Amino acid sequence: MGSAVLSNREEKSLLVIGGGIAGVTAALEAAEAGASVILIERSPFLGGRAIALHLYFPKLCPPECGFEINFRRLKNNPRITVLTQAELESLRGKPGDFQATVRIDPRYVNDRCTLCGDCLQVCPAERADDFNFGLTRTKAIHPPQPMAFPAAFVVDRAACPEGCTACVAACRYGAIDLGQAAERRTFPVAAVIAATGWEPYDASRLVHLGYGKLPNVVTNVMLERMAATEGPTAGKIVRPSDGNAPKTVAFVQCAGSRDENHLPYCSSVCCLASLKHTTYIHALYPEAEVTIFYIDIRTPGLLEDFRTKVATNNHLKLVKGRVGKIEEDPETHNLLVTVEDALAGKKLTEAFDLVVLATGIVPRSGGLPAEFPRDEFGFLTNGTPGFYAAGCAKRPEEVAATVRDATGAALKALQYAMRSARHE
Amino acid sequence: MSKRVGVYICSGCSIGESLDLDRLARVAHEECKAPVCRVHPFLCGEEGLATIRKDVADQAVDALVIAACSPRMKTAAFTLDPRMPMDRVNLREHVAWAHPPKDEDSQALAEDYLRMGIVKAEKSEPLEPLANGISRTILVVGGGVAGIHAARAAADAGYDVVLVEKERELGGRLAHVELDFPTRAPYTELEETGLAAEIRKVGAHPKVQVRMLTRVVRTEGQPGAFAVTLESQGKQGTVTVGSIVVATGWRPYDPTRLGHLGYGKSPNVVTSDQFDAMIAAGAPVRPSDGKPAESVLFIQCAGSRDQNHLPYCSAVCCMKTLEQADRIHRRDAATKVYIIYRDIVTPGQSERYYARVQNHPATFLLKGDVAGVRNHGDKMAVEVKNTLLGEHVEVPADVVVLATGFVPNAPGPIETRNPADAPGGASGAQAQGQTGNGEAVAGKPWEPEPESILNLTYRQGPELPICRDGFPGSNFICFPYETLRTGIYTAGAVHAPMDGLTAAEDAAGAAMKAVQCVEMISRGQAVHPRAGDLSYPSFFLQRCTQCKRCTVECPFGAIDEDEKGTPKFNPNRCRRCGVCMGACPERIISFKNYSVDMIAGMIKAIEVPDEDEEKPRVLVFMCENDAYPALDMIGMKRRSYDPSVRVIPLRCLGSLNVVWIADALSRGIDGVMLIGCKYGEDYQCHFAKGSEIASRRLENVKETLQRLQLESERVEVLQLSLDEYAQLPETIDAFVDRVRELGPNPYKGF
Amino acid sequence: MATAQPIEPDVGFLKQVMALGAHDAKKCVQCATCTSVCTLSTAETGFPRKQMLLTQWGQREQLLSDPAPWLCFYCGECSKECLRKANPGETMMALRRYLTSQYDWTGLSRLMYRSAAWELGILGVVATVIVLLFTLPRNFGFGLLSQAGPQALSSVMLNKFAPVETVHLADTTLALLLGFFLLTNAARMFRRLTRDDGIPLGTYIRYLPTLALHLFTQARWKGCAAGDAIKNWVRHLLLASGYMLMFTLVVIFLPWFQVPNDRLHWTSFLGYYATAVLLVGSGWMILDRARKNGEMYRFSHLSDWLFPTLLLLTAATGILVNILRVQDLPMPTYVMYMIHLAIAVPMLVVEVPFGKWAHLLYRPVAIYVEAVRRDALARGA
Repeated sequence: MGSAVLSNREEKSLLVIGGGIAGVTAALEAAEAGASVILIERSPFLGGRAIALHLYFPKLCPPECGFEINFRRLKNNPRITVLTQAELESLRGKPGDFQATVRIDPRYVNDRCTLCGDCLQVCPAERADDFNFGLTRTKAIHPPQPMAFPAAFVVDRAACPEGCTACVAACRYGAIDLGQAAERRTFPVAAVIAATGWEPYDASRLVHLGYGKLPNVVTNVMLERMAATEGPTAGKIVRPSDGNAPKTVAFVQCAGSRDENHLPYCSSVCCLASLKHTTYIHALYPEAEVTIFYIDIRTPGLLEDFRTKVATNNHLKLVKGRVGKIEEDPETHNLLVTVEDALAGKKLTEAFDLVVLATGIVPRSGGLPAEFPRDEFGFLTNGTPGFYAAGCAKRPEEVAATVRDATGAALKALQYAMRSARHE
Repeated sequence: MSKRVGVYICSGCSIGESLDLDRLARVAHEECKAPVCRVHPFLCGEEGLATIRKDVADQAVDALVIAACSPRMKTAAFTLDPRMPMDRVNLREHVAWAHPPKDEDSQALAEDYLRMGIVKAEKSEPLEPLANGISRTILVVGGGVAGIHAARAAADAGYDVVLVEKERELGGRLAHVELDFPTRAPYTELEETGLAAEIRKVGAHPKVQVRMLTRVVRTEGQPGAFAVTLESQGKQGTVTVGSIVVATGWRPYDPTRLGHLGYGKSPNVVTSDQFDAMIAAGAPVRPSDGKPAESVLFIQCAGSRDQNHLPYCSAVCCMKTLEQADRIHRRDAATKVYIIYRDIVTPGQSERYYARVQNHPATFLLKGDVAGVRNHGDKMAVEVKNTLLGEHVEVPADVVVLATGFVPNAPGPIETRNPADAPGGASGAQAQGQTGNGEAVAGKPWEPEPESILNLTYRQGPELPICRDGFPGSNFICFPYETLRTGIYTAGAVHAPMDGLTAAEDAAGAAMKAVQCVEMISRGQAVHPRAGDLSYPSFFLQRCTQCKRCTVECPFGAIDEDEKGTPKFNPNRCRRCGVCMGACPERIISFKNYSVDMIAGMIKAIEVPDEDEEKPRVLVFMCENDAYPALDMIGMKRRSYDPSVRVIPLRCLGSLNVVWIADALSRGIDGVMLIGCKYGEDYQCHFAKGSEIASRRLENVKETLQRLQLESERVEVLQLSLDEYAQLPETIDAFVDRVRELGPNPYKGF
Repeated sequence: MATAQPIEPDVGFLKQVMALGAHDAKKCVQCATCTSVCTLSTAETGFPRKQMLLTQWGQREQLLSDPAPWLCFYCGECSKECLRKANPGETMMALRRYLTSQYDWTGLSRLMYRSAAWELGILGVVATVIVLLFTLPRNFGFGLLSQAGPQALSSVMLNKFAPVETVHLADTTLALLLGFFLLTNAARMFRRLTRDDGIPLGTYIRYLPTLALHLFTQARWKGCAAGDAIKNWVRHLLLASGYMLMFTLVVIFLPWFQVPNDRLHWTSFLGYYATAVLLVGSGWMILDRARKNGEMYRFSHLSDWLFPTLLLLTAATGILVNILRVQDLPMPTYVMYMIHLAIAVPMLVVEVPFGKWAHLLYRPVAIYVEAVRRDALARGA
């Protein structure tokens, strides 16, 4: 019985769109059960938003730890084909019998790359590193991310000087091909899992909060990179205006979320993220005074334990009241935050060295086949056989929930592939 | 030499420029007598690989040593045959990139690593996957929403399912609920659960066997071959299943413990559950006299988020209360509904439902802390302090509903916490406020009615170990289905507090893991985290002294005992971490490619300079999952550390056998460092307890050292999280410096 | 700790306020963004967040003794930034409408705010009285038109037709009467706000200049957050100046103001100014309201439309009277005069003590009380 199940399943692949934690999980879970999987990812590396985090709440453990295991599972699993810089161009056919055409943009570096770094020595051009929100620079040829999978360099051709082939000459392994062109490949596919993830809400649209105009107003995703060892400040959380350590930090919750002028839903993770960021700050500066301004602190389920633990810190204040306005003292670049402490019934204007906007989650669901239904906010919803959504493209959720969701989506895709195989 | 070891040295990536490869090749050829040793400038390239493949095909070699980059690189390329003995000697990240080129110390390091690698390959045996006649049937325990969906998902994928439900019907807590929380845009209206249809489908599914009024009374065996005894109305029978999904759901928190919130003071104080039953029958009435209730007051977090009761948030009570408010107003828009909350927790799109229900003119929400509930004429009066009104108020209501939380249907105590442990914070304040009149005694463990679920015959206990707060889930964020019992996965509310929709999705995930488990086991492969590993330990029982250390320490309960205490190993429960191997004082537990003898041989292969050379040697045992990649990162960054260290990666620090420390010190190695994962409540060890066990073993070693007149400072254990790799050089250098200060190991030269 | 205050929502009140404009108040989640963006809200007043909650909970009694609704000039920033679109600005406006209806002891105000029929009805009745005054046969003691005599029909003789002394007496009487109503209503408000506050009379006396300042300038408005607050304030100030000027001219200087057409008196120039300001000001406001130009004009209650409309019509008919008079068209002048009065008088009668106009006094009183309270609080602390 079992072997029949297996051989049927191996006829057609599952297509997983998105190589973040949800996509990687869905691909691995299905592949380890015996399915063939095509995993496509838009960027040159896997890991998505999760791998850009410094630590996960509530355990305060690094994402690299889990990805190390997952990448090992990938390296050891020949059933998974990973295509980076790849996007689904078209999907034809019917559930159980799709033809998926994938466009793969050139990396300009092939799998002969050993990460030796000789090319880095000769590359004359630099570019802003989008992995660090442009706060750092890399060479035009560069490793896409410190622990990147696939472990191969990538060339940002837009940054290359006209006609430059310095890297090609320097590479002893013939790994660089600047003439590489985009290619199209078509795969037979039984079912599709969309795990296209999210992006942070554009904080500059919150005009009263000064992001983009006031240097010391940063977003939570930026803080995350600052705290990361490989981040722009090598793990130091500092004021962008002068590089000094902040002594007072304010977190503005619901910066865009739960707001009918912006995102009318709750982004689910920002309360926990800010509590986590408090621990980052106190790990660096135990005496720093941190205030989290909130509407409701939402730490559902067992995550409440994390709040309980973090809230014991005497250098953390939780104040009920959403910040309405942030202004700057132009001399010091200190920030004047106006807010009402609603429980005390006192409106106050307090000065902070650094303000962190807890911006929310916007689903990234563009460019997917129309069979993926979307709700009014752009989140994918399930409902079409053969099409399954997972992770933050479906609803805002934390990493563990995303992984659970992706694991479930893997079985649903798998069972659809099975059903079609049986009926053929 | 028993094996024909082929040694392949890559000179690329500056290895050739950094090291004298001729000398290295001589070590392989002459000293280690490797029959084949080749140096190639681009070993991972097609030509390099072809060389190796040819030697293998010609049977010139039957074990490989690839001396090139880290085993984490080019893994697929160098995995020519997963069964063949092979070691990757990390000359690139750990030598050439981390230490000065053309340097004697760097050369000595490379040579030692090569010797160690050759020993490792020599002492490995080809892997033979476990031949398994296994059952692919999935057992689902619990027929609520999660159980039904788990069964359905697995059955639809082609697997036979046995679904066991202890009650008379399927559906669990939502069996008679017609409407549930919104799941579809615009997320503002209650939706039909569709559960009745699901129940029909699962009942009629040709691959699902539904067993009603049935309990599991005994679970024996291992994944792929669990023998599960089911009892139904006094009759017992056994089914054989491959893996198990536990979906036993939840029960409401015991309201009799909520006297401080008025429970028991009047029949007009009811729980959320009781209120559900009341409004299912009609409009809400005052239980004391049956008069229609003109006002209903909900107290949120009744027993949840309370250090004297359930420390966690029950996740669904806010939505549940909003749903009940909605249903009250569908019947009578004039009924006043008060909701006293601390935080309204409606994450994601459920915020829209909150917005919709709140907008009703007769819904009144107030943030505050409930200070007391008293009888007030024929009504109840609820006192609320710290309110947003800035006042201490008292709200009269006909019926008070306690939005009681979730208790998982899993056996095991839920520890209440002493509020003194958690001062400050909103919950702390509330908890302290309740200490005076609450019936709970802070710090005293609360024993819910113990209920057995699986009745495992495991040495380590009959049920799934509790992860936290009474839930037998997973401690891993990245691997949320990994319980400490292989092949057994939790789904739904027993996994974590969650609503029906989430439970249904969670169940599909748990079923995925159950399906995957039987498939991997059928291929003789290990499941997470060494997914795909074909090795497994064998026990040389003739020398077993029945000390029981292995049976006690296995984090996954893989080893049972017979009456005499002889270990009885269940390979399919095993995760291949080697903790048992580390535990065994008799060294009778070995894998074909990982053994006490092998590591001892590697230690022996290290050349220890004489005392007068003033070159210390420090052995570092590293967890291969976290510390080893961290050290790779140091190489990638071309950062340097003391070249006196010799690193041996371990599957898990818990597989450390203390005999290796004795071996090392007796060979004159000056210090031993253990680098493992973080342990404690938020452990990061992928084998749950490995690093903790290792550090415990080390405590005993230190006593032994003192008896041998050796400074206990020569041995140190360190917890390292992967993100902390940047500190690694300093940490290593500091330890080597301390060892230098202690002076040479007096056993040198013996 | 203070003892617990019993609290129960007054659902009737809640429904009334919702009907008066607070239709979105229930949506508030108490995030307090409104308070933080409001530039008039201070550390202690903390509005409008708390008023939102009090409204949601139907706390009529507390709101009746709360000056906060009057401290708001409805720049609308709170509504614009409100993340639940609960419209705190409009809620404050609705509260003011409700409070206006409550401060009035005659009960007329309540009737008019609750029902458009009542409001229009009362206006209609007063207008009818005026019309009847002119048109009924003289036998009944009315019939101003027929009283005028043939001379007055050959050329415009407004003074003959409606003798200045009579009109002066009538409008002074009316002014006194309305003033009485307005002042007693304001006194009720004042008593309600200051009841049992234990603040010494001296403080109240010391702060009288504050009352005067805000009565004449509404200077507080300038502090609003919206970019066009100053513009709105100036416009309102000009309109108010025109209104007050006209009122003064008519009530006090009528003998000089209502001069024969061949003579120009200094009051005429003031009259032209006032008319122009009224015409432009009220017309502009109506236009803004119709276009929903800005937060303040997004929602309009009948009372918001009526006042500027009546004002505009009064000014317009006033001009027409003057034009007709200059053209020496006796009968049209008289009819227009009748229409002018039939609009102006009901407007005054209804709006001054019972309607929206009353905010002219309620607001300064609230600001005054607030200032006194703050003083007392500072002393207490």
